[in-house]
Amino acid sequence: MPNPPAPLTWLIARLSKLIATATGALEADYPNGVGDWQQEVSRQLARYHGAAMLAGAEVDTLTPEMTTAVTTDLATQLRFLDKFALEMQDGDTWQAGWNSRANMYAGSIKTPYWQGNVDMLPLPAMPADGTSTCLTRCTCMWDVTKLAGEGNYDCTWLLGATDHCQICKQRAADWAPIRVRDGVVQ
Amino acid sequence: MTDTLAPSAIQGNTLEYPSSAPAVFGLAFPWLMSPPSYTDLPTYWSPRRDWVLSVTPQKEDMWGAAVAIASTRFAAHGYIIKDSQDSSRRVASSLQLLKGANGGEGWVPFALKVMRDLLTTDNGVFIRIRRQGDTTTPIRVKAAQPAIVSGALRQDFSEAAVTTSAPGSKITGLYHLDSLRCIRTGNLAYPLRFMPINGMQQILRWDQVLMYADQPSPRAELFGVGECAAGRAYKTIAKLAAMEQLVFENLTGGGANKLVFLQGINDPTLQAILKSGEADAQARGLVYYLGTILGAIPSDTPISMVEVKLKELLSNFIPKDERDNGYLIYANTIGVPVQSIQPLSGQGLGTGTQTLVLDDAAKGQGAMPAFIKWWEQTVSDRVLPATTELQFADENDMRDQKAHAEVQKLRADTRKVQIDSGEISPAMARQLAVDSEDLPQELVADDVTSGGQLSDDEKMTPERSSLSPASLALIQSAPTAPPKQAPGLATKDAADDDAAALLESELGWAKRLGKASLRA
Repeated sequence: MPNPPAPLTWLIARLSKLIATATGALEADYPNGVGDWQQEVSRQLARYHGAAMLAGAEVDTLTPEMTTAVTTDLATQLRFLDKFALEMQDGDTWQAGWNSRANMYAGSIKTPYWQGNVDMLPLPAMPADGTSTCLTRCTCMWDVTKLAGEGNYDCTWLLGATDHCQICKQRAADWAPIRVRDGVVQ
Repeated sequence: MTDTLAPSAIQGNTLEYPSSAPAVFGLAFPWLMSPPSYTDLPTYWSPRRDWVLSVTPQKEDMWGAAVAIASTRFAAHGYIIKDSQDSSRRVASSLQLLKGANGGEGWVPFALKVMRDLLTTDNGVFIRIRRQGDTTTPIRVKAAQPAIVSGALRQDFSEAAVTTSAPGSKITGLYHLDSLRCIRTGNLAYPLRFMPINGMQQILRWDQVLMYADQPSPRAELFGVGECAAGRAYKTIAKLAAMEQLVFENLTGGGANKLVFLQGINDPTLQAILKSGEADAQARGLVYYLGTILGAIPSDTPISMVEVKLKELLSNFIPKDERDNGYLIYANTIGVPVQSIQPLSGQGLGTGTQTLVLDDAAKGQGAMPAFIKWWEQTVSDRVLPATTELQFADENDMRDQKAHAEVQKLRADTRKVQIDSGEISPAMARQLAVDSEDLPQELVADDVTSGGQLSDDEKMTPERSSLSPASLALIQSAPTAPPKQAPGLATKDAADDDAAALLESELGWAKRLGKASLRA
């Protein structure tokens, strides 16, 4: 089983720590401070989504296409976060599962990372994009082999080192590899 | 009959209907084909029946008005002639053919005669097609009949005129033929014999005549004779005519309504009274009492009176109900909205909406809509050039135009949704627009569905020839991708806006973190 890329691991670890710190502070002050917590987590998600895309593509600047993709991913997470914050605001007591749930947001930056890593190829799914049962806990990754010619790739869905959901197993079987020719998925 | 005439080369019989033949058939056939007749209408079918039916508009006023309304509606109806290759020459010559029908008499009188025959004869409508190079030759018929009776006409049929010209030669004119002078022969190649006022009978070839009948009979022996609106409504026509006649006689004093016996007065005295009364009434312009027959019975008893009613409507007979029902039957048989015959103002149904609803409901039912459809198809297929079509559509009817525009917009909206969802591309949308005639065919480079779908009033057109430079320029400017949406017009919710703004504000941090992660 391949290890996850070091930049992604580094980014997730830092973001996870930041979110855990913010969530710990919220737990201490709960039921106050939900708005501030949401603002802080949103800001961090924006930073780390952008950073993940840049790290995945190994570039310094986001192209318009990358910006659109990051914005879409970020907006999806902000919607989830909004619901989560509402739920916390409506609650009376701190729920044990909220820390773990908050920590899952850190895993969402895998999606922009892999989008950048595969050169924005129009692949059918990205790890942790929410289309599999494992959601942001997904540890799978794309292995992209660039072939001769413009826009020619072989892309393989690799299972991560941890447990896998059924969907990811199926993807690993089906997309081994998935062929992209002239920029078009075959 | 002269011996110099060429013998007939026509295969098969060109004699008239079995029902009008002078032999036993002529008596037996209509009896076999008809239900018992409760009217003065000759049994179905013989040419004599059409003579009676054809004068029904003179028998009952409202029926006459209904036939006139339907005929004038057809004559005044707008029509479009269009050419799939936009040939203005073909369109102009086709238009001239209709506008110059009946030897230049014009479309309106031609159409009025055609519609009158359609509505009042079972035999139907006959239109003579004249072609360039028509040459008429007299021939000796195979089964000569020195004198035959067809309806009320008696004409020699020992020789006939046959016109020859190439079936594909140019059509130079359309002529209405009097239905009462047309005899269906049942011969597919020569389906009609026409008896002109002067000259010998004409045997017409299939491509020289258009024949139509309302509700054509499926009986083979009738050769396509139909059941016209006048025949279907005849009992109603006769009933209303009798009713109106009774009212007329009551009002004008014509005819005797009752017989009155006066006892105690002698006849000379009664006559003297009547005479002075009549003079007095005439002086005042009154003739009212003439509907009563007075009879004097001399006696010594005091004057008494006994009435014997000769004619009177039943006590529970409501003339208005009979009229309303009759007008509805007229409307249904002809195929016009009932309020065209009888305005509904002042009644419960007399609203503008009701008029529209009834007008819509009347479309596609009755004699007239079916005939219009037949006329469109037949003229397009057999009279006009291959690429030219006739379409009855009232261009001046703003309601029709609005409905057409609304449907076009619905189709355009559907195509937009399909493009936006990625179901089709703009090129496919343009092809669909051409197929539904929302876009001219010239504006697509290659009509990939050309000829793949035809409605019943369209016809197969030849493959398109080369495109004009102007068409090519238009095609080249056609969009190949959906239009880009202006900023702020995209379908977004607040989260998208928030995300974009947040990303922009945190982009500096993102870059620093990205670089740092690569160094990790």
